[in-house]
Amino acid sequence: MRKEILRLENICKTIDGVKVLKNVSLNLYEGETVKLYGDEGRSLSSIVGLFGGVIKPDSGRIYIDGKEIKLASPLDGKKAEISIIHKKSDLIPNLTVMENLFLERKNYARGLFLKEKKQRARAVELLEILGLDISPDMMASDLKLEQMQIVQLGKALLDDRKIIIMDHTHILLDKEQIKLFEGVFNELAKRNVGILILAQNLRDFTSVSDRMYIMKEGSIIGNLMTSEMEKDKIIQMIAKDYYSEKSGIYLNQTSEEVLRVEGLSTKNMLRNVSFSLNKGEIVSITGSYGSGKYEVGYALYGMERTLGGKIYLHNKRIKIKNPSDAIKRKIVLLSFEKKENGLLYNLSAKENITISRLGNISNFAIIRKELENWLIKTVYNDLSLNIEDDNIAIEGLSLVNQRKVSLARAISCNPDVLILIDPTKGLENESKKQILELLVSFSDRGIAILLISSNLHEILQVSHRVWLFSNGTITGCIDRDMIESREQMNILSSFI
Amino acid sequence: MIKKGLVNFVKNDLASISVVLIVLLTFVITKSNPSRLSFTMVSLSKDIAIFTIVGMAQMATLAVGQFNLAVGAMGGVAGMVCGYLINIPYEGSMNVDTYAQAEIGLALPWYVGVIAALIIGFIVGAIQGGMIVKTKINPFIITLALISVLHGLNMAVTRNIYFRNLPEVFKAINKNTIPATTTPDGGQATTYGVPVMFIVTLVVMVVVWMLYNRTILGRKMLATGVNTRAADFAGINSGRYITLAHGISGMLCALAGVLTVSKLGAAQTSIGDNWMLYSFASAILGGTLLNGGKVSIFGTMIGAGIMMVVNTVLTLLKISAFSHQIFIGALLLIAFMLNKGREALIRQQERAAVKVQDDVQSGGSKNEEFA
Repeated sequence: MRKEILRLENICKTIDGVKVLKNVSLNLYEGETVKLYGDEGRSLSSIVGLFGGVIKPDSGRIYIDGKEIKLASPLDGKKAEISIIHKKSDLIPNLTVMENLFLERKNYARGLFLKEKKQRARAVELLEILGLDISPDMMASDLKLEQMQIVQLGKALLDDRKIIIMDHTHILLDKEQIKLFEGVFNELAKRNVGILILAQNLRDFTSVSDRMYIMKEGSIIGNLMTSEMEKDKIIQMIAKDYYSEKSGIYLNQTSEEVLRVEGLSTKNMLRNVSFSLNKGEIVSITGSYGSGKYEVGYALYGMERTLGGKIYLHNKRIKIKNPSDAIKRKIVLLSFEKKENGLLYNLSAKENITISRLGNISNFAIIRKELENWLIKTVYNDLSLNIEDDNIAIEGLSLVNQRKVSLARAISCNPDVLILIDPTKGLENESKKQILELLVSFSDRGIAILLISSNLHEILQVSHRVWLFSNGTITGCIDRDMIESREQMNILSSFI
Repeated sequence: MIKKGLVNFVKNDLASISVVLIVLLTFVITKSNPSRLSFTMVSLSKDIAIFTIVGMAQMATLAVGQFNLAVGAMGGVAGMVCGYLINIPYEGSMNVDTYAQAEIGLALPWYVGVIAALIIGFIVGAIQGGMIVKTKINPFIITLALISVLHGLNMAVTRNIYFRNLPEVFKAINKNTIPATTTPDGGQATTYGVPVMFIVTLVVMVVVWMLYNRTILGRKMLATGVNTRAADFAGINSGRYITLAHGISGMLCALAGVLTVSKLGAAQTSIGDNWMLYSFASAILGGTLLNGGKVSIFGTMIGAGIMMVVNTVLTLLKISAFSHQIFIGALLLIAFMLNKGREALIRQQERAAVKVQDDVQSGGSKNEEFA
């Protein structure tokens, strides 16, 4: 029997009123590679935070080598023999690759002085093993995201630790790099190192894993050995709820084109994106971090300079230079990619809702209170929103009501096209459902919705069509019929 | 309405600083020589009038999440422009007594000078704001550089002269009070009256209050305050409103500059030299948040009041003018700490409010689980 080196017991954690971890128990044996698949980035990140000593569990225990430990600070995490490869680099940007690699390695220094020759030799050797064609003197800030990940892996190798945790939730590595990581993981497994990979997609690292945990909405719903790891089974496990729930939401078919985009490109990200959007249609865009899915929305909204491409609204070519142009054309975007971008937190709920329509409720730049109240009332009726005090500060509202205030602002502009970025991020199930129902009610009213999201579950529930983004362009598409038929599992599985 | 006003009053922390102001004022009243008290009070109210406007100039930039280090330089330039336009050229030969007294000046009507100064102030401020928006350089660097540029320009062009021969009507802004105070032959005032200058400030305060509470411009400037990206998402052209805020700031500086010229009876380049610290301290003591998005106009006046009364108190206590700066600096530190505490308090209250709601919600879902 192999030795158990890591065990979590009934870990619970609530963040901002949302239960991100519900009774999570898992274990890791030495020399074993385990993948933890989760649909919720936030739950996975809090597990990383747990080991890093940044997040304290509300309840539950952590055992390392059979002994219970407390991880109260990042320093405890370092002492606990755990190496973490973060999704966002924890390299220090203004130091070189070499300096970063040896930052915490005492045996490469003599007193206060660094043994530079020894370091350099080791660094060159490491970079070669890792297949990175970069100089050890390169600044960490000049590295690409995936290169930073690999350098972090190098750091983990140098650490010689027993446990490696890899946060793979948002990263897009190419096949070569995945192979490289897999090779290193195999090597480490032989040295009896236990590896836990947290991922939001099914594809990566499945072949090197001995076991896989499946986590859904914060609780672990499956623990499968590789032998039983057939995609169908896993997808059924993940999509089960969707099939039982879908009856609740009814979608109309539509055909009148509202928005058409031809050959949209931006400097850094988008390459030749073309699509069209019909009246009352919900189209979802999904893809990994860095795939360009967010940038499509920003480019359409005038937040990102476009290099080429034509945008047609109701078959008329339009140009959008900035968001206020877009709002005039009845294209509205709400972004919750970062929480603070969705709302103006210093203004009251009422002021947030009317901010984009001030021109219509004022005379000679002076806001008319009675018109403002009228607008608020109309929007409240529209959304069946119920906020007792209009003048309440946004922070004083629950998360779901904050979202609704944002949606109310969008609706106050009478949009023809509504672009939503991660509209349910960080919400609890019940709240998510409320928001999705609102979206469907918007589409019934004829608003075309572009839903940019990482949450597969919600996408499957409400979309007429789904586009997959990678490397800045659309690489796959499924429509409603395919979503509805279970036989199209294979197409679905290419998405996750 | 009154109740709501009272709640806001406490929330802005105006209650506590008002108490400080009242205590300090009581000290001034009891300690000063009764025969000089009316003079002290009238002069104090003029200082408060000017520095309230200086504080509001800073507040205008704080509202959009920025700041303006060049308040004094802008006031100085505007003051000199006004002085040049309305100065009646001195006639007669230069001698030691009239050294540096201006022989130049356009002798235009006083209101032309004032309006021109306000326009210049707005333009200089807007240029500053436009530079910050276009170059994306930190406002610290740009406004710091502009202090030097504007002050230098002021000195170089005017060669540091005084415009002293100003129209009587213009000087009256300083001298006159309502009701008029009696001044026994050339001596100091012995009865009480509200200076015209103070009334000007009250009017400006009402206008600024209207701007932030009733107009699109004000609402959009406040919206830009905390997070410019969020404002952009809401369709607000944040760059335009940052530029406008700096323009308004420049215009208020100009007004304060003009009032100072009237008070001193002369336009000189040293106007505005000590404004920067006062501007921050009065705005922040008054409840304007350093991070932007919230302004307090009445509070700024109380803040300015405290700063000016402290000066008077120090004089009454016969503390050397050389050490006044120590106290002003200390007050500024207190103001910033207050700002920090106020932000923490706001966040704490809001979190408590959310928690109550969440508890209600999770209570509900728990029941469902049992069922």
